Amino acid sequence: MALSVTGVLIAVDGAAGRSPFVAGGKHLMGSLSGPLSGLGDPLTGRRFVVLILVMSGAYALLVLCADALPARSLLAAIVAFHVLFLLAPPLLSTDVFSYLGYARLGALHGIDPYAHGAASAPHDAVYAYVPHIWRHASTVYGPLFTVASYPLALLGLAGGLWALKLLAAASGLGCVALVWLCARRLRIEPLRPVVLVGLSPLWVVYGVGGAHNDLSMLALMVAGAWLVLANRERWGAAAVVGGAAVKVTAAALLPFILLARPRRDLVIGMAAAGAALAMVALAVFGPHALAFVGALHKQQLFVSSDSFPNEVAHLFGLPGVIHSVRLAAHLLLVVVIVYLLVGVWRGAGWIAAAGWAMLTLAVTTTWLLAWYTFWSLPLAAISRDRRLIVATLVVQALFLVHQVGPLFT
Amino acid sequence: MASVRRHPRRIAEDLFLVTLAALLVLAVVVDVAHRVELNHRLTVDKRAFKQYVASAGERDAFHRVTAHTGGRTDVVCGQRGHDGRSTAGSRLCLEIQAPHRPRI
Repeated sequence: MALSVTGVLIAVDGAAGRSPFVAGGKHLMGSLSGPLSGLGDPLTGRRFVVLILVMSGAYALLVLCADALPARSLLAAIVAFHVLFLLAPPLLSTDVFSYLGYARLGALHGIDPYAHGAASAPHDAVYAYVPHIWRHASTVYGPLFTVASYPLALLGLAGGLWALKLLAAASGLGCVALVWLCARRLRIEPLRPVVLVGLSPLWVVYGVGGAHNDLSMLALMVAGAWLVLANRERWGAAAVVGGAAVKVTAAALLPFILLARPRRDLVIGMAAAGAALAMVALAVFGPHALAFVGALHKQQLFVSSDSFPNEVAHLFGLPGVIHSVRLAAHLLLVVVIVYLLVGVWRGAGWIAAAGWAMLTLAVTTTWLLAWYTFWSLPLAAISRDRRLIVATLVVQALFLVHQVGPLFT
Repeated sequence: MASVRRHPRRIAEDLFLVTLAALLVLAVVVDVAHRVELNHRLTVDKRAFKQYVASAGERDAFHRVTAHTGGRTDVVCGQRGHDGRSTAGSRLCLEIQAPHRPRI
């Protein structure tokens, strides 16, 4: 009940008018603000803090009591939440406008988004919605996502926005369905895992609400895991490579599968998918096809105030992420991943190990955003590792407290 | 009745995780407290914000203020810095950012 009320209030209030939590701010009018427009009160800082924290508390209770609650009600709630945040305006991130900006650059203006930013087409309708800090940045997303987003540019600004929101909601629900299928194949009672993923406040509010392509990346990655569990290694590897071609993070799953499953079929699947995607990327983007790797590396040099290395640096009296802090974070990431890989090589579960790797990536990056904290969630949900589930939820809780806590003052 | 003995590797993993979790919790609590205090000061007197920047020095303020405001200065200034431009521009971006604005 509390989860439903707080979720509805965040979605409806977000659409009520100018709010710092809605991308586009005062420019977001008409069809861009969505069907919930004008129904609630403006979403202020304090209001958002209270709502998201109550929502998180209710979610934690639901996860704990999932087995005692009617499955149909929980599944209906998961679908309802995805639809609700599909209908809400773009929340807590302007990234969706950057996606559209890159699509429109390529499809409408003939400008390569791997070589140029939105500033190359300042008269485009989306330009005003792209924050100035990103206007000169080329895209960091994989070629599959970029190519798939090109047709959306032909739908106009509002059409493209809602198509991306629809993609995020469908990917989120698809991922939840795949978590169910994986859990059944692993002989895990599937209700709690799908509640863990599908009703997560970060997943629905930030992920679906912000229309992040991380959901598409995760849907393909979990599809890969499901196919591998179904002994269809070639298709599984191809799906994971597809996920990495949306956002490169999904590639973190590959070494763990390679160590745990028949390698020949996996390599064939990876090579075939990689070759197909490379051909498409080269045909569309030419020599700039791999430029996103460099752009991604550059972005990883940024520091977000919510990143854990930044917070730990302050704890030790340092001014922020200086070189030694970044080095320590990288070292921790490498040591943990090597430890996990050795563990899988010796017979440990690859799903849990890959989940730990993704969680470690989120904890050690100096550029941490809310939607990075749910990268490990689907894998944690289908692992039998309770520590991974708890650790993922603790990291999410710490992120929320750090980001929204000061807004209450 | 035989007691269940935990594997030493598992014990070491648990110790590592608990230590790391304690470190992160402490870091978050301390950082939130700093940000709350700074937000309060900035609410009381916006000029104190600029004085803070001035007294801390440009480079130090660049790191500390961006980490504590909860605003978007980290993104703006960080990008400038990593683009190879002088962080002297951070003074400007600190001034144009509202301290309470959440980062989206």
